[in-house]
Amino acid sequence: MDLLKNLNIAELFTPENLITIAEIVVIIVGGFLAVKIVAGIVKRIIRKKVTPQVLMLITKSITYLGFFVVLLYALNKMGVQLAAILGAAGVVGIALGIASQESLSNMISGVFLISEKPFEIGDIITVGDKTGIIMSIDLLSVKMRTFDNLFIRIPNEKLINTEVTTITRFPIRRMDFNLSVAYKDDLQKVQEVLFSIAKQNPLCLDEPEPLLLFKNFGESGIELLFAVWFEKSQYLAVKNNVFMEIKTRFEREGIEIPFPHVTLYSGSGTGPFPVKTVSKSTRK
Amino acid sequence: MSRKTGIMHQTWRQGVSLPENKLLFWRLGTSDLYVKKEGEVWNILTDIDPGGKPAWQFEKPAGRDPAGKWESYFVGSMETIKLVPIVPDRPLVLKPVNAVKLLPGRTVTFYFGIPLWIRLTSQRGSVSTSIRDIPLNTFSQIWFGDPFGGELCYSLDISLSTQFLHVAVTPCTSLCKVRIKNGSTALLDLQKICLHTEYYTIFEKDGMLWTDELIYQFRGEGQSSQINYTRKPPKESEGAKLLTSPRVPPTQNIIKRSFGILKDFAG
Repeated sequence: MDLLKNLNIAELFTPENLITIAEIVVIIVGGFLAVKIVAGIVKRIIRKKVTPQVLMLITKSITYLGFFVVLLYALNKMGVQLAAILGAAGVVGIALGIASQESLSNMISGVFLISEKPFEIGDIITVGDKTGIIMSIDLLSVKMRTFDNLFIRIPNEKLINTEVTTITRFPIRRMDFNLSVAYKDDLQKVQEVLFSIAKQNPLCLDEPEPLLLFKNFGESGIELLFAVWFEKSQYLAVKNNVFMEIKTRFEREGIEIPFPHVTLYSGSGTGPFPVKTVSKSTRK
Repeated sequence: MSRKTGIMHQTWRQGVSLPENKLLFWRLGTSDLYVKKEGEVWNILTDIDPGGKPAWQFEKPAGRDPAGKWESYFVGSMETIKLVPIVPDRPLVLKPVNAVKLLPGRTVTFYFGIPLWIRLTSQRGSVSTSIRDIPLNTFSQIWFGDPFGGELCYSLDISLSTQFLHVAVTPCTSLCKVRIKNGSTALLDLQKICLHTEYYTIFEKDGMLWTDELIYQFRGEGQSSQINYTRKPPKESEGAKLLTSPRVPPTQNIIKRSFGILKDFAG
């Protein structure tokens, strides 16, 4: 209160001081505007030459550095001793550094992620049991959106230390169908049917050619792998179309997809329930 | 070998005024195109039947009714509709039916037909505005090149002929003349030829469509080939007039990896 009593408003707002205050306001407002404009111009110039995350890194660096310089200049204009502030900032910086080791680790990991480019904004990645689309790659974390519309934030350090699968890295992908056919079926016919399914589906690539691999004599039937190549954006269409087509064509060609049968017992003293398969025509 | 390609001749050159509320029909190969003008709106429906019998007619057969989803375009008044042939929207990879091999230092000229698409445009005076591209064929797709640096193309099994009169064409097929020089010291096995059709110009003469003559120079396995787009019709169609400009204007010479070798990266 004494301070306020002793404060002489008339002395404070002398013409010289008013000019200084006006200068400081102009420096701060004008400086911030100038920094934003410079960052915007740089962004526009390099937009097509660099990846989105590098673009973001450069513009943010320009903005923060610019704001810092403007602030220092404004403080200097106010008559604040910068040497003392910078000295104090150094001490505070060391204290903050010790207190925020994890954040620093994330930042350094973020720089590695940006330079190594294991994925980019818009890529689909799998980390652990989570799969989603990359929304942003920031200095501390990567943000992604899952297909059921959940937002996930993954610290950069975790991404550096974990196995990450970038699903959309390459323009084409292979889709595997693990199938099983009955022992009685003609494998040559199975092969012809599967290859014709791939041939007739315009989304399946002719080359690389579809793959058929007879894997095992399994418990219920012969196990095989049928794989088709497709352009990465067609994942859902290929999955559904080929899946349905395999089922339809196998039924039409009389190829059986075997599955384990379960016999139920109602108790230890009874025999199994009699089970009989009937065709549509004999069903009542 | 059909050489009756003139049926579309007038359509390529002239626009058609759309009568009010009247259904116009085009059968273009295996695709049906319906257009109906209602005021300033054009209602358009395309129906592709890949298994259907190809035909070229402008009158709707009795009993055939449009089936599918109509699309409405707000075009404006005093406009005419024009159909123009255009190359497919992706490169074509030709797979010769018979094995073709070219000795080192030799040059060969081949002719073949490229199936085209149709571009629907509205015409106001001399200004034409593209409305939509209609594929007339269902191509299978192929990845040309390695799995991370190649490109998605349409695949076409084709017979290469050294005489253009032997090439079967339809009203919407463009004859293409390609001169291939084997500039390497190795045998050139033409298993696959990638045509970057986006750079092709289409010319028309007497109802026949031609692309510009191309000169490919093979430099060796795994090397890029040099492609020269002459941007003029071949001498067989001298005097042909420009019908459609390329989708992408070509630079002088385009280096593309154009000759594929079979690579097994499916495993």
